[in-house]
Amino acid sequence: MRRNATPWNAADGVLAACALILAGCGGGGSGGTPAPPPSVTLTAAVGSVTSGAATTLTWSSTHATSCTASGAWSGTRATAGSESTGALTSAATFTLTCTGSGGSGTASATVGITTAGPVSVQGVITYARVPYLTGNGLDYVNTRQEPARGITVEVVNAATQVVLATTTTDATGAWSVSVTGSTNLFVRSKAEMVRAAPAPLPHWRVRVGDPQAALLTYAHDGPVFGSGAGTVHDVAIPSGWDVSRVPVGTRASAPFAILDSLWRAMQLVLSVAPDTDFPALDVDWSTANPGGDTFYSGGGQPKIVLCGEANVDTDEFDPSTIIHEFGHYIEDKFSRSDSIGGPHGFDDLLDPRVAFGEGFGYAFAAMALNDPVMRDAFGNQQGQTARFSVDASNAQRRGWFNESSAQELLWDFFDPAGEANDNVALGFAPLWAVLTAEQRTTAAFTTLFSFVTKLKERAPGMQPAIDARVAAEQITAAGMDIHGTNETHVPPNTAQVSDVLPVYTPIAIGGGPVTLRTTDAFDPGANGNALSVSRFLRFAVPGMQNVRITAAAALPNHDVDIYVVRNGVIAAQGTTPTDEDFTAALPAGDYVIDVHDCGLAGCGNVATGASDITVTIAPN
Amino acid sequence: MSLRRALTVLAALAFAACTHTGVATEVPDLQDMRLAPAGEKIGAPVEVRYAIQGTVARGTSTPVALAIVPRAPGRLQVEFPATGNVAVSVDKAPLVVEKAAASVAYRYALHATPQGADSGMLKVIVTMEFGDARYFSVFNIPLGAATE
Repeated sequence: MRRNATPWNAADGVLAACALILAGCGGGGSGGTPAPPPSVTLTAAVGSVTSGAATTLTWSSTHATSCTASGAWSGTRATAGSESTGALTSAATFTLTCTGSGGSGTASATVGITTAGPVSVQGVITYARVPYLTGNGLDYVNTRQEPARGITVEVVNAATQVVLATTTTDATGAWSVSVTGSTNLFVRSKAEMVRAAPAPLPHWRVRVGDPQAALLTYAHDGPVFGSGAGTVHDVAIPSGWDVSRVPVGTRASAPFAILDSLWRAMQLVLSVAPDTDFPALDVDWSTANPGGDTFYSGGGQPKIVLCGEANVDTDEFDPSTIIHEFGHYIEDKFSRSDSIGGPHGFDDLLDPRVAFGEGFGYAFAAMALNDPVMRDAFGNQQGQTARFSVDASNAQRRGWFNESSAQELLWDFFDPAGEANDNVALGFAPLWAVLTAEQRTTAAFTTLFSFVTKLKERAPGMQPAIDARVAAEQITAAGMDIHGTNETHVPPNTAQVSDVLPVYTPIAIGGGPVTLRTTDAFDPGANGNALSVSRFLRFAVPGMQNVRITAAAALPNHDVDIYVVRNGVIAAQGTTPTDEDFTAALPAGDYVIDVHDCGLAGCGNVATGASDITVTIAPN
Repeated sequence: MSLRRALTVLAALAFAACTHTGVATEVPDLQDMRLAPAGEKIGAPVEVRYAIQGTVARGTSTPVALAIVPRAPGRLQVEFPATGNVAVSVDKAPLVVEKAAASVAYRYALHATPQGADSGMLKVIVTMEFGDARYFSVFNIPLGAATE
């Protein structure tokens, strides 16, 4: 009974001790029972591997006290165990000899190298998308798998972690590779879309990662499977949420949902510019990104930051929000954006550069999704949905300073005609043409004026319809130029028309002082990006000219800053904490000046109200 | 005064009266309150001003006065999402004003209790509706370094 209850190696020790005791006593009958010879088994997990792969050897023995490896391995071994063969590049025979009081036993296992031809392994990768409820919030009950389009797929040897093949999913999420048969594999889905040389244009590189965690690209590793003689292996990347809106695991599908929204946006561009070379774009998303903090940053490596804070605001399933930010990237990299950014709310009276940029972002999202309704889930358990239409808003203060006007105009230029005041139906091509040509090089700041003026020139047959649509937004269409010279509309309750108009005040070199007025009247949130916190000047330089520029505020604490800009590039600036007085050498060209009141709260200072600013440009 | 304006003022007065019920802290002047920063998404057209009316310490309830000032008239709703870093107690249900007026300060009082060494942010979600359209903003109020 004891033998049966004792591990073999320990029991063998007991037996040996008993044998010695019996021998010393001279008892035990006629010389004792001979110990049985050891038996050994040794097996390999697989009979053959691909070159460079490994497998696992497992062995056991009976009646043995020690074992010795030989052949393709060496050294002493326990009487039972397992270990990896290490990478094999040729067939190998592993031998194990175990010795006991009854003698020794030997076993061998041979691992071959697979020489069979490649087999096809293919599948479809899908990611879990949580759709919107018809009413409010995300609909976790109806989470659905959608194809992961254009993403990078790696097929990895499960034993060695060596990437055996890399490919890209197609527009249905399908992928296919050739690998060696009879190999244990897994599929690594990477949250990136890459198309690069030597492939012909178009090219792109978009990836979703978590820079705070030093993670450039999220990846999802699927379960291990055998390639056999060729197989189909689909991967479904889960959302990590259950139907009761509770996270139950890694929110693995989020980066892929983000990528797929960007894939859709890229198709809009490719539909009119099939040879586009998209500059590399990084997307920063993580569950630690605070709710509400979603933005585009064009400085250095272009980057979209998306919030991921559950129960506050998380954007992975908000395509219109994601594509809005991609619209900023498009404007920045293919056109030009002079927007100064900053917070903005519905019906706010904005700096016209901000109004155009933000309006373009949402109009672009609507075009890419072919849906004018923008949605954004937020709140406890993502149970609410913000929504508005770029086709019709309730904006009460329409005009060249309102992003709702900008987004509705751009959408109506794009969409089919037939609505009230909308007999324009241009599609995306002429919009893209203006964005990437005239708007990119305009001598004015990038506003509705610079865009609409050039769109009218590109679509002369549509001019009356464009004018009618623009006029409906309380913007002067007739005779419009890039500087909005004919503009007469100001927001309701404007104290003085001169608080807002002209959009650009002409100034001449040596022409004497020009006075304009900045005000925080339209900036109750002290965001610094409201209408008339900056005022604009324009002037021409006929030939290379050295100038002295001065700018002084009439009231204390109003700190005037000056940016002299030629075709979107700052040519000179004065940004001291007081009035400005500086010189510059200006090449010939048309210039604009941003006169910004940095004394106001939006710039972190204490001045309030309006202040006249006097500017001179003198030959130097 | 228009009927709309009169109704707005009445609603504001009624609401202001309600918000003071059970609030032990002083109601600060708007100009003495700080502006809470919002994100850069298009959002609800409101300013959120706040005043922290006590010493912030981990595990200690600190009174916070809020003023929500719409820039446009519409339906207003205020919520305080649970984040784990800051516990929030309110003396009534989340604020809803069916017809909030522009430029009127809607006052609200609450107590915030930091839960960790990093006192973190008190988050305020403000939603405004204009017909079929609905906008929200997340405002982050830094509670400052919490002490033991």
